[in-house]
Amino acid sequence: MSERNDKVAAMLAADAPAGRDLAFEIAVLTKIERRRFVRETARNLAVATGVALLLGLLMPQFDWAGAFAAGWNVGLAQLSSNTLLMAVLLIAASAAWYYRPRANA
Amino acid sequence: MTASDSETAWVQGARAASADDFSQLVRLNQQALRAFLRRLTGNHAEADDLAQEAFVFAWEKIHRFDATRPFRPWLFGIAWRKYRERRRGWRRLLLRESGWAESQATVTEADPGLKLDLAAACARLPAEQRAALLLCLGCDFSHGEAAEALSLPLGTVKSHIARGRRQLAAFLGETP
Repeated sequence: MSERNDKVAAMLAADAPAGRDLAFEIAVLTKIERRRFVRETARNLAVATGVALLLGLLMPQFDWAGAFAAGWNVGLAQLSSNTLLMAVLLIAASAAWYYRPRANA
Repeated sequence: MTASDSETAWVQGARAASADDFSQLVRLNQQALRAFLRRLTGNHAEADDLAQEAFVFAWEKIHRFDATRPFRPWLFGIAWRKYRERRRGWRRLLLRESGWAESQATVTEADPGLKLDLAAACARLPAEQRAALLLCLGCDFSHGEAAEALSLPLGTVKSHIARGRRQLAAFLGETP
């Protein structure tokens, strides 16, 4: 039984790939980097889209003329405190999510 | 430092997002994993593709891996699941069939007798039985490790191996 096992094991090992295959290792690492790049790009795109939408919603309330004429505090005064708070919280949450500690960067 | 210590250190490093440590794990395991998948699929290109997918998946999920356990059964388990997922797709099936014919040509060129017999004998075994046999006889897995990798009960793995060995011997023209 053991002799037969050894024979089968030897036959199975006979066609094994090389112990060191740089091309294969590089292919694996390339795939990992490519996926990471796609994921990061998609995330950045989503964040940018969200910020753009938010700005699009907020900007109509911003008094550009007042801001340039009398200072930014005048322009910002047009925004309700709730809207400002929401924007600050959103930016803080986005930053916290983006810079969170991760197992795989 | 033993090989096991090195592996544990590399796993810890990979969990901390070290690509260098993960590449060491790839280097350490690629030969056995690809050999296992080549026998399982009968197609070198598909096997290498599956092995790459398994490594990429392992990298992405390594934070879920329990570092106190051996890495190899976990990795081979991923590869086994990838293989089964791929088998389910009909398009993949067609590709595999055409690839199988190509690989047969390759095997015949390399060694007309022995390899062809073994490849044909392996191909006739049911997938689970083939996988259990390949892990235990071809990759030096214990029955327990094979059971973990294939997500099968230990008894099932043992019976797969006993039955597979008998069938392989019969296919190869030996008396059990």
